[in-house]
Amino acid sequence: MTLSDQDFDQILKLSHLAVASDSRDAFKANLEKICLHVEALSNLDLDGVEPASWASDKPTPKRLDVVSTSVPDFTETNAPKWEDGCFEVPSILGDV
Amino acid sequence: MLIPQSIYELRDGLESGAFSATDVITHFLTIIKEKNPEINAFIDVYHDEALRMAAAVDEARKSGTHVSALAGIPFGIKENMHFKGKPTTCCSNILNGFIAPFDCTAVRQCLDAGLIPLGKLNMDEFAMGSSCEYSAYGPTKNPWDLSVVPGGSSGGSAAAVAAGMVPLALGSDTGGSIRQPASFCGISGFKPSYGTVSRYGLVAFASSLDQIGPMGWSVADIAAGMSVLHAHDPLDSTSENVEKPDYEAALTGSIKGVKVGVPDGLINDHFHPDVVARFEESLDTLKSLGAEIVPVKFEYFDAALSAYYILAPAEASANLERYDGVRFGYRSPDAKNLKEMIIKSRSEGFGDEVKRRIIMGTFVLSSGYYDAYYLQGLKVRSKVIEAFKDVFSSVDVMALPTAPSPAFRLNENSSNPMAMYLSDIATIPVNLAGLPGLSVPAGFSSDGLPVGIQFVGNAFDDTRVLNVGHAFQTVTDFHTKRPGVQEAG
Repeated sequence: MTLSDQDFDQILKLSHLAVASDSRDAFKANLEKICLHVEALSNLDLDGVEPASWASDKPTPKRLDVVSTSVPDFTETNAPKWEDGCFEVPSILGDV
Repeated sequence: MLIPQSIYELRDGLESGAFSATDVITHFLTIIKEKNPEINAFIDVYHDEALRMAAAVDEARKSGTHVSALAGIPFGIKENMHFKGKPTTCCSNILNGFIAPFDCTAVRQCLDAGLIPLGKLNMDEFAMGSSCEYSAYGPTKNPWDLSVVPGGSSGGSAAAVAAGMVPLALGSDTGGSIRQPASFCGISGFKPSYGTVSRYGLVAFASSLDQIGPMGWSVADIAAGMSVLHAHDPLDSTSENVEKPDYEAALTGSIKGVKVGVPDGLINDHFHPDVVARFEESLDTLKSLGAEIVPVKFEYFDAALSAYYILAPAEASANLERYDGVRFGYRSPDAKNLKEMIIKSRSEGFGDEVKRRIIMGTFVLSSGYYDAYYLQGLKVRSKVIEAFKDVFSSVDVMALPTAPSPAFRLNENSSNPMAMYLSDIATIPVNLAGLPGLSVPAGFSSDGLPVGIQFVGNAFDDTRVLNVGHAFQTVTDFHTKRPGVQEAG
């Protein structure tokens, strides 16, 4: 399979990733190579087969909806920037 | 003083007073100090804390206070499991400086059993890799030959056990990450049935496939580890509430009449001749123990590999979306706005292999490609599960080589991801179906590198799988061989 530059840019955008210009072709070629490999699946007769997200066919167990601690330890220590009990981030629109 | 490596010998020696917990911890810390600089298995060593914990165990034993039978025995933790107050980085720059806010349940169970953590073990970044080369801490090297890889992603765990730095290590296995490095390093490694060991506190890679398991010299050590690790955990919604078997008692060593299925359609020209030879010799060994070797039909190895490299990246792309530089982890210092901060933080923080898998996962989940890739992958998973059910309707366990080759050279496959992915062809189907899989040493290649054999069982038939491996080790001595020495001490 061959991806257009536009398609690859869209995937990067959805991934929230940027790749350096000198490695972009390698990332794109790798994706195309893996896609080519997995396209072998299209040769299998999978009509009517139910998809399986999990190995187990049991339903996910439920638990009581009980309020517990929501802010774990080290939250402040682990925050890249923390002020007045909040995570500090750059403004959405940038410097205005 | 001779300190044994086997967990049961350690337990007996500690209980009898032949040596103290301090003796044991000092012994293993000395080996780490001696061997780790060249092997790079441990990335963090809890030297002082381990000695303090050992002194507390000794004091408790001396004063007659009840302590667990395994109290004082050391273990190592793969770097993707939380130990509260200590860094958890998943060997990624994006988690540099992150402090674990709670204990991983599996780690907590070890601590509650009195086991003493010696430190954190190297791995491929976010467990994505089969060579332990994709680590922000640099590659781990195989103790058998420092020019070859230890396998991955639990390469640090496998190398540490093989080098005698620790008798028991925790690994995680998403597509073979316990079994393949166990094979490459000549130790025993077990991926339990999915849901047997809690995943709470294991940093998620592909949640429907990830499973924690023990790695040690022998299957007896694995059974001791499973006795500690197996428990229902309400904190993990996929933890199964099944009756815990007596792992130790299950190791009878008798496999007379056990039907061992050998799948067709796996071994081909891509398999190293030494791997094929050791596998065939191992089947003869099983026959000599009274097992019946039965050819079975299983035609989904290639399809399972393809499905895995759709499904695992898809889950990873969703799981790793949380690394955005907002609440924890690396944040790019020079972003001008929020969106740029997120993209730059992720792009600068993740390594190339993680990026490759996020990109692949995002692609197969994206509009226009979901049905052709992701949905097909899920359907193949159904076929794999069904095929295993058919197999286990006629045999008790399946036997197959753990990996197509012995350990490959450092950098040999690092620039060829597809070649790297193929090293998991025999292990991946087991994860897709959530089954138990065990790798045990089966001999050596002509170059003197370890080769493993894998036993796979039906879901929650873990003890039967372990007993087959144990029986194999009652008549073979490959698991007692150590790098640089002929017999275990």
